[in-house]
Amino acid sequence: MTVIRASDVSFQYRENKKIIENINFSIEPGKITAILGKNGSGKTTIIRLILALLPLNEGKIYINNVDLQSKDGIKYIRKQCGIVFQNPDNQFVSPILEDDIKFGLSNHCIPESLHSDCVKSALEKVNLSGFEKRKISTLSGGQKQRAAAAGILALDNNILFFDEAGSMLDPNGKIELRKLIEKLRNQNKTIVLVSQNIDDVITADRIILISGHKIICSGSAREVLTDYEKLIDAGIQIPFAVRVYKDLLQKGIKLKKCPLTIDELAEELWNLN
Amino acid sequence: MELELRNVTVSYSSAEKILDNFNLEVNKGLFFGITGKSGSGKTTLLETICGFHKPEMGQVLFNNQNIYEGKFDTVSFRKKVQMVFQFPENQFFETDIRKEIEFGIKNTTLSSEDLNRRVTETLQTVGLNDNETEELSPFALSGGQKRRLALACALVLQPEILLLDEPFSGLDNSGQNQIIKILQNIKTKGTTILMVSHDPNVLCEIADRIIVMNDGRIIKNEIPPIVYSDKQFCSQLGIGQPDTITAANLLDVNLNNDFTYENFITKLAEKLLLKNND
Repeated sequence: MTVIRASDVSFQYRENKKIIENINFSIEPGKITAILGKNGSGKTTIIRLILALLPLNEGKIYINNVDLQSKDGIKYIRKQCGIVFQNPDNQFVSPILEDDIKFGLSNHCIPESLHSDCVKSALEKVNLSGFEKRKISTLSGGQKQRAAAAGILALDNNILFFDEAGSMLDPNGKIELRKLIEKLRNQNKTIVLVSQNIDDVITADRIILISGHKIICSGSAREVLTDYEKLIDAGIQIPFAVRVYKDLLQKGIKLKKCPLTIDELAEELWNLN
Repeated sequence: MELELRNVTVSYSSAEKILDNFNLEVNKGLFFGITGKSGSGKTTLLETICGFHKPEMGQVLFNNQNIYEGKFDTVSFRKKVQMVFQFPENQFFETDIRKEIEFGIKNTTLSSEDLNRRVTETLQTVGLNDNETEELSPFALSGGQKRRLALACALVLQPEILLLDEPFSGLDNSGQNQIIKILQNIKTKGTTILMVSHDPNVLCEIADRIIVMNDGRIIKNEIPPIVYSDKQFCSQLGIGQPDTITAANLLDVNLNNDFTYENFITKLAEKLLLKNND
């Protein structure tokens, strides 16, 4: 069963300069799928194509088997999908946070009598309770990212995209965002994360690794993030524990299996002793 | 003292102080890493140093002169103190990369030959110097390239103080390493750097001192090993710890205040081989 299916999709902004080339993938419902790749690899372009924010040059994209290019395709996508952009300033439309969230609710035809409750609940989810009347211009970068996420969560879409949505959060904020995403997954939402940062994608159910405008591998977080050579190929930072595993091997110390986290590394070293 | 903030208070509304009686002394040529929770006042601090927010109280002194006083020479200050914003696209407006970099220095007394040379050198410094890239619009660049272009726009003026607001957020590994190298290079030339970042790994690697902020105040202003070796403090203030320290604590490896990865792996291997031989 798939929610999103991309078939032979290619895209170029200018002639002879392909941003993505003949890619195929499918995204399962109720799971966290991460698209991992370095800057300029085409990650954001892929989700812009899925959301019909860019016109498809070649190939087909389906959401719940609805063809993106069909007559009502775009309308359907707008109802199903929400996105938190990399730069939160790109998605605010009102100067006051509460009004900004209500703008989305009005456009999704949610009755006005429910707006206040929706705003309150969305702000609670991102730890911004009490920020309803705040001017968005006075929020910090990290607060803006959480505020932008609240605007999308209020709409209760089934498919949620997070485009580097935690890049400006402090370490605790990143942990909170990961927990929130896992909670949304547990509520059966389909989540698509886009990132170049391994810490953001470590809890994903599936990772699609992009390099050279193509998908070079996909699999579980463990399969992809412990594949040293592929990560090097894709220009992605090697997880700390994987790097330690490789370097110990070079020094003649072999661990039973490659750990993904520092805790797993400690466990492996404990077993070694 | 090159830069000093004395009892500076800044607020956006009467209810909340973003900088609260803030004091800081910055010596020339030092690299300050500024960290702290979201909303602790880090960006406002940089903007206040840059001359964007006149404090309600206190003074911002550059070479002992208050930058917010009427007679202060703002024009020359603008050339000496440069800020790179959190979102590089917020500061672009030219049609191609070369023009974008030129904009900052075209009104200086440099001859057109010198100006061209300076722009070319800066493009090389940030690795945007191939002919095809130079012709691109700043808005057509990838996130990492935009960061480097924004840095180039600041560097072309050869500032004495460089203020950077989260220059690594959204950057991949190689982009991050490129910027670290550029910063290490300009630091050796005596540029003072104040950089806001949430990344303890990077801050521990390149900063001379770490300023930890909370609710508009400095909680700690110390060298990186002192700040980051205190697990409870880092957790309370939400600033995280470098991976090497987390792993060393868990694995009981003594790093002797050298938190580099190379030292960590050497010490870990020594410990494991020693145990093996026992």
